[in-house]
Amino acid sequence: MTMTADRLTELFEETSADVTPPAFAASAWATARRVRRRRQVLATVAAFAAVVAVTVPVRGRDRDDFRPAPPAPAPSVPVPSARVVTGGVDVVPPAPVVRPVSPLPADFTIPADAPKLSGHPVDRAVAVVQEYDPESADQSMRPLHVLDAAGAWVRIDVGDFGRTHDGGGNEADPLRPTSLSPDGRRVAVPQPEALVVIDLPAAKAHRIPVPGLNEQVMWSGDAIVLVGQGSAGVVRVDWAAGTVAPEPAAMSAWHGGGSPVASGDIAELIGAEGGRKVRVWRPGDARPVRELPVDLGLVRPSGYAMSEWYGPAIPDRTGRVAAAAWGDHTPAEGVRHLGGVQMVTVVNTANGLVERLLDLGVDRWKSCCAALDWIDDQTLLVKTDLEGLITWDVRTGEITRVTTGPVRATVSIRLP
Amino acid sequence: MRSTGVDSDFAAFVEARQHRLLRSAYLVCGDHHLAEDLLQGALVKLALRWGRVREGDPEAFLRTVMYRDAVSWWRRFRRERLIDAPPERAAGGDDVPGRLVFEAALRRLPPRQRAVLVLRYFDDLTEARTAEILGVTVGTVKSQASAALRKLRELAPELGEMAGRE
Repeated sequence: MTMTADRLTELFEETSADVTPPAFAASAWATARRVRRRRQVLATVAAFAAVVAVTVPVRGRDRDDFRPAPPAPAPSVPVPSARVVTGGVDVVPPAPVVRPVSPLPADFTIPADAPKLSGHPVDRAVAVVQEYDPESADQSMRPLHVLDAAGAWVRIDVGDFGRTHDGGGNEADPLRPTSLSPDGRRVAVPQPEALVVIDLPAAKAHRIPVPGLNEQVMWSGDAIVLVGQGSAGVVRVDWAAGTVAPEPAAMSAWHGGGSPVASGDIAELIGAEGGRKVRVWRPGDARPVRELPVDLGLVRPSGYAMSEWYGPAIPDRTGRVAAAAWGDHTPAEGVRHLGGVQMVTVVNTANGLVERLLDLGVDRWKSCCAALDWIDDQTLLVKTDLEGLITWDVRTGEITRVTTGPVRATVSIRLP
Repeated sequence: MRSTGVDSDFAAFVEARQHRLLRSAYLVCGDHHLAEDLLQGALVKLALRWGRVREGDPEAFLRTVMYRDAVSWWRRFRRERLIDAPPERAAGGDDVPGRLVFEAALRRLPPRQRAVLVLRYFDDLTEARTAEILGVTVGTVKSQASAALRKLRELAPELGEMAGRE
């Protein structure tokens, strides 16, 4: 090793010198034991669910029919129900009951022979999926697939796009959780210096030049895509007209979840000077409609606090948004976790109140989980690393499992 | 092993290496919480496979999981900014400014380049072992290391003599 390499080693030693020694053996072993137990229980529940599934009749396409099915008969294995702690805090049970949400599959394994979009246009998609496998030696970008309203997979083979990257060269797969349009007919794919919009019924891709590295997208109605990076500032893209215009509102496509209505307000959950805030923008207005401090009054008594929200704040139609976060849990008694607690929160954008919090625990990765879509005005669809897709009834606290296993993919879902 | 206890070999293995590995994780990801998440996650995977891995090379398994998770985490979930205050630093030391300049420059490298530098110059691994852990070719390790050192010199010219000119 050369002298200069020795100096580099010294700098690494000095830079990490303040890292204090951990004590991880016992907790890692205990977590592994819990994972083994959970896998055993889930395998049993999945086997049971497979038996139940064949007895459930195929349901129609009316709105109500896409709500979670009624509870399955009590299985012969123990299935704990969701536990409401206090003050609007719920905890994911070890083995939530499996309950399908049509037309989402219980297993997100995409068939290798899925037909191509160019030969099979899709009138309306409920999901767009891009698989990943961090443990595979093959880290090349996977194709995008759509799941149509009948539950069939179609591979997107139109459009030319690759991974996005930031100014430092850090790459990311281009599909975003907010890529699918509210009507399920278009997929917005951010690209450096461009936006690609895939028109599913026409099986065609539109490439619109958009200045910038363009890593995030969100929809404002079904005609406008707001394109940006992580920081504040987006441009409006009318994908059909091919026009690009600056958006006066300094919203962030990283924190915002878009709006099903073009003129609709878009809320962000942000960390700012003075604390965590809800900021609401109206497209076209340079000043936010309102900015409120986040009110932890309902969850603080249980010892919860958010440190940071991750990803988009998914709006319902009543002025609430749902977003994943991580933070602290300092209960009056028991183990304190300063940071590292993964959670999903529902926040009222009218008053800033955190109305409900789902505690996902500390045995997960940061950014393990994401709010995906509102199934109805009280049920949220959430993606987690261990369970896959779950539903969370934010009124009763009930948690059900949609998939029988984890979903190793980025997904964007718009249920009819 | 008692049914409620930690395997003594696993405990001894982890205790002997966890501090050094946590420092490696911190250097790669630049975030104390995330570094702990990365190491903890890798240790859980190791614990799940301990019966099979213990007779082989558990340290290589652990490093492979941790570094690949670090790179893939940044690729998939990269945060755009940190809103919490950076961790407090111990005061003092003649070359603290140089260290801070170095750390700031290191944060601006792409994750794989950071991983290559940490594996080569902090973990003191060969190019071949670095390539195995990251799942890339030796040629990629060489080119990534070269690019990383060049970028460090661009970002922090005052470190030029320290980071070497290859």
